[in-house]
Amino acid sequence: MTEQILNTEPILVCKDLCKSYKKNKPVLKDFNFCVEPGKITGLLGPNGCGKSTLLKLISGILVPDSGEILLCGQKRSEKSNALISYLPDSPYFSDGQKVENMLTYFADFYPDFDKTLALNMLGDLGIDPKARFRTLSKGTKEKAQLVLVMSRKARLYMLDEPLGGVDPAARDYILRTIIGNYSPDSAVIITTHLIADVEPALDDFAFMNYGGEILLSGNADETREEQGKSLDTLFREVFAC
Amino acid sequence: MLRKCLKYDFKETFKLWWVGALTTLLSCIPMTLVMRIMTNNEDPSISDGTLLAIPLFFLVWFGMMIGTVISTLSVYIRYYRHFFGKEAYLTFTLPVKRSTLFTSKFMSAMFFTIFTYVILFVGLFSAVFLSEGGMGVFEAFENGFSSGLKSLIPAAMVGAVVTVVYGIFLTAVTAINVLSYFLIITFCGVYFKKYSLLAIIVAFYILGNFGSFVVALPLAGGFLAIFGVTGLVDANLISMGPIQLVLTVGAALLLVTIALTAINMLLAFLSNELLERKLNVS
Amino acid sequence: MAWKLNSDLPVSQQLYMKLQTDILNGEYPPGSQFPPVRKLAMEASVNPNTMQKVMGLLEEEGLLSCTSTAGRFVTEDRALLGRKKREMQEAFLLKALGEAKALGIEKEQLLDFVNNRFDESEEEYD
Repeated sequence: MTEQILNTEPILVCKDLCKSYKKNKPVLKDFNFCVEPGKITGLLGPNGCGKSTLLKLISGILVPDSGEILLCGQKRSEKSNALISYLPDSPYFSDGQKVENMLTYFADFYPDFDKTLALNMLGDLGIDPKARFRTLSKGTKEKAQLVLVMSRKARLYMLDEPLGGVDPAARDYILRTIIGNYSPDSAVIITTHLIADVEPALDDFAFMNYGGEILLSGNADETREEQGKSLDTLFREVFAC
Repeated sequence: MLRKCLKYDFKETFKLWWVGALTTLLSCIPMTLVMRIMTNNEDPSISDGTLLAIPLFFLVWFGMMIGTVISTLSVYIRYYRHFFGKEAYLTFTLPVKRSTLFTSKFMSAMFFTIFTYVILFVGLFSAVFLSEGGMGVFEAFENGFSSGLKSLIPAAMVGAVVTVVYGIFLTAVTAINVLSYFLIITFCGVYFKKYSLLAIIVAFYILGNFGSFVVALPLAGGFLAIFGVTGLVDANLISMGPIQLVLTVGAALLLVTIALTAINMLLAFLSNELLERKLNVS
Repeated sequence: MAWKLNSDLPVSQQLYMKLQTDILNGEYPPGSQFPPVRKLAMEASVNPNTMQKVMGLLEEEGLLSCTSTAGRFVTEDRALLGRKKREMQEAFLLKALGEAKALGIEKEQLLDFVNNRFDESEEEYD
């Protein structure tokens, strides 16, 4: 029995987004994108094509040169940040902080943060809450960061390369956590190079090229059926050098 | 939200600030020895006591300087780290307005900067006060001060008015200090990217070396206002009642304060604009 | 551990086959409660919507029934289960037969093989 979705308004709408770091070198040009609730979307593309920039624009770290970003129908503002749980591609903790202090910090600023869940996940992954970040390896820091992001009940989760620097066992755990977190009211955007690992978990996907050009997009399973090959294989064909 | 930001700004700034404050307080202790030596010698220029007093004095001076610098810098280190360091990702994804984040930084900066000077004052004052020789100096000062003014107006009233007006004036001057350094950090952070830290250090060094003109200028302006006023009424000093004198000086100071506040608002506005529109966190 | 899925083929097809086989083999006994969508999706490391679709197909086939409050149950219709199992077995045998013929295996050869080797235990098959 399918669960009724009361609100079918897209969670994210990007309209004609433009962003460039240097003149005449746009990272995103007239970028249009839309994510519906209850979907896990994969944003797949080569390094430097603008995936990370897009996520930074949505989360408010960067300001677009032109264009519009709408979160749940509202223009992007600091209030939207309460709806977004963003995982950047590199750790952002100050070395001297203890892990549990970060939990308190998140609980303070985000009403939807579940501290108990976070502590459980840290336990599963073998991370000591009383440890200071400088004592953790890079992979462990990334896991800790993911725990913080997934312990929130956000409307939009944006995970920038969540599987990157992490061992295969942890990758399984991370994917299962993302799937387990699923709710018909929220959406997940994952950017990654490790397409093969993430494929089965995706609803929709988009192949993104430089300048934010979308070469191919659609439902993952339907595309596999039509094309008779995996997204990984398809990606290699589409982006062949 | 502002309260939450303040909580964390205070906590994080304090972690570095207390080191400086403690250093300042501890280095004031040798001052008691210095005072003792100075007041016990008949001829300070040749006795052994002087030889000891001089290095001690340098110890005090050095310690106080380092302590104050650390305490003062703790505020700017926090500002830089939170907006331009690794933590910036966390900062700018919070459901908090950038102007609120800035206001919180400003309020905690004011608190810790003023408190740094309070610590300095307390340290020196108690060191002077605690030494035997110091008591004599203090008594002499008090006698001179009160005998001169006792005849004019009740000491309490003078103290109150001067403290309030001068306090407001000093707050405005401190704010200029804080806000201009904030603006430097923001500007360098936005436009110098990789080399922002280097640019900030250079800018701070230049300003520090040229006597912190951002503090000296308004202070000078304030005093000029006072001297100007008292100079103008010099001839009529005797005929002008003491209350009127105090009020005139007070008014001059307040005018300068208003000008300073306008400048402060401009400085804060500039920083906020840079944070809001021009900052690209990489 | 994620179920072994071949990404070159539609995931929903593979999930359907696996779950159908598991039900018909008795991994999920008739009348028993079927795990919820999310739990299975997590176990398989697949998208919950895909899993939902597959369960819908299983319902259509009559292998699963869905109540509005208690979740999904495996059907108790043993006749249906028996019939489906035979269909599945026949489909497999047909496929195997087709591949055997493609390799040039003769009917006699096949019958001899089955007669001689069928009763061996499974370890010796490798």
